[in-house]
Amino acid sequence: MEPRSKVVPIEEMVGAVRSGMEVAFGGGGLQRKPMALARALARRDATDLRLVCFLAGPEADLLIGLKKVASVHFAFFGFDGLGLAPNFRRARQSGDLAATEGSEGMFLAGVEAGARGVPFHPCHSGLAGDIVALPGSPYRRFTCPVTGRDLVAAPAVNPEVFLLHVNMADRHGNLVISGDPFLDALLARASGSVFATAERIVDELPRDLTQHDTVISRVWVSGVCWAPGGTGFTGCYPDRVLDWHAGLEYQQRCGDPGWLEQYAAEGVPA
Amino acid sequence: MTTDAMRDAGFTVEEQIIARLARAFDIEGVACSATICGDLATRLAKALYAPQLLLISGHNGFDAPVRPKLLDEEQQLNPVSVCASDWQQTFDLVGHQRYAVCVGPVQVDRTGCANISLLGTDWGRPTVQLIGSRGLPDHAANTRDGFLLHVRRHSPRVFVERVDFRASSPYDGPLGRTGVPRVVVSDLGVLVFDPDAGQLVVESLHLGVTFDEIQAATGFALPRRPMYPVTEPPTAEELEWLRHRLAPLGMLRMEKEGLGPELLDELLAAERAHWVVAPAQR
Repeated sequence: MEPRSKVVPIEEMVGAVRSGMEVAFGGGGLQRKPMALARALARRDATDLRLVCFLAGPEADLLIGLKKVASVHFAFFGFDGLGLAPNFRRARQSGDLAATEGSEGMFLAGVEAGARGVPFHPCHSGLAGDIVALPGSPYRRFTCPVTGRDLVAAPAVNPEVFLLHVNMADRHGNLVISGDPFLDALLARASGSVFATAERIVDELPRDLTQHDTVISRVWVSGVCWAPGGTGFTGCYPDRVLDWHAGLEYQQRCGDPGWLEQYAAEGVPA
Repeated sequence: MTTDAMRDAGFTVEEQIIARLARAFDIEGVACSATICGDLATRLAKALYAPQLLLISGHNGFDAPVRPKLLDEEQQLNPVSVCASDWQQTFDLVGHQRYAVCVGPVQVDRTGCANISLLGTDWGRPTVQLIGSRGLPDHAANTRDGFLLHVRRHSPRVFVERVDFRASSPYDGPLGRTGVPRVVVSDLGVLVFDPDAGQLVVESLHLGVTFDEIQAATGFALPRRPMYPVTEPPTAEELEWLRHRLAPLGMLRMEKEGLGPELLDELLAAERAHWVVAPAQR
């Protein structure tokens, strides 16, 4: 007997996101961002989202610009070589967006805890500098019960919904990422529901994948959807090169709410 | 202009910065940088001084060979890297002091703290929201010899008495003294942390730069010594590598001019003509 197919429409995926939920996105910076999912989510009513982004970029900037976001937990938020994220910057500078900042290592430690199912993961990161002392920070200094020395506790990151884009998926929900996986494999194991758009959907994954490929087992995945070009203007190695011009256009125009609505409605190509 | 002497001697400020950084990547581990100058310095270091380095630049795979820096280089570098990037392994390397990184901070202060996160002192409403702390707190608590900084324009707004937000700070912790900048290379000179003085001090001045100039461009007092060496200029070999093998198509212009649509067109046209592997689409 075959396991049931996990192929679902993109609207059903974003329909799983309700107001106030904690939502994570795959990829990093301007690479392999699930822009089709972010745009579909932006068109729905769900609001007050709590975003969890390792290396946030246009997917989170779009939702912030359309006032869908209550807070963001991040280690980096920007457009890589193109510079800063305009709506994020504006929202923070006007005091409208609650933020939790972790370092990359602290964020990773939290996702490791979330994936393992323990309440926190210890790290040295955060012992120095101001990051743990930020108002409202969930990261805590504590004394190690083994050595008696200082450590930082990174609380478990367990997003309610994780949205990502992958190069290939089979109908059972097995996923293949061909380039940098960022934290996606770990986030899939830390999250409640995992939905992936894919460049290709195949009956069965090839058995000759390489050391450049990362596989996420169907056991962690709730649904897959065929959406070639689902990364919008961001890159998707090796299938799509980052569209720098479209990225610049987004960056220059995303402060205009009318343009941004149109972007979410896919009235703007990338 | 302080840079005239460098130009007359046949090299640019960027080339001076990169060459000086390249000589400081001497650990056995990975070398990484998100800035163009820093990334080129890791490649120059591996090419000439530290062949044991593993390059893991960005999303280009793990343990890449030395190749020219490009805008869309993942298409070129990923297929020839040993394997895909692995962020858990990356932070295992950070935790074992097997990671050297070069950062371009927005602020650096007297005591060696660095900031890339935000400007202003109200966390709930920053004056300028930048990119967040990224890996700086990780290097502050873990990195002993591989924390390098560079600043393209030395000014009192960058070199401040106290950074608005300490993304990194020197720290005496379970792993020894960590988070101390190994060097801070600017367009005027090289600063290092002097443990006796407890602050950044001038190690060398670039060709044609005086102590008074670097002091005037620094927002805190620098201890003055009677004489300073001149930073060793880039060698002919370093310049040959940079100009013809590592940045032959003008990537360093991004550092100088910023990335607008016209420069973007020029760089993309130049590098797409040099692509070895055509991407699957476009």
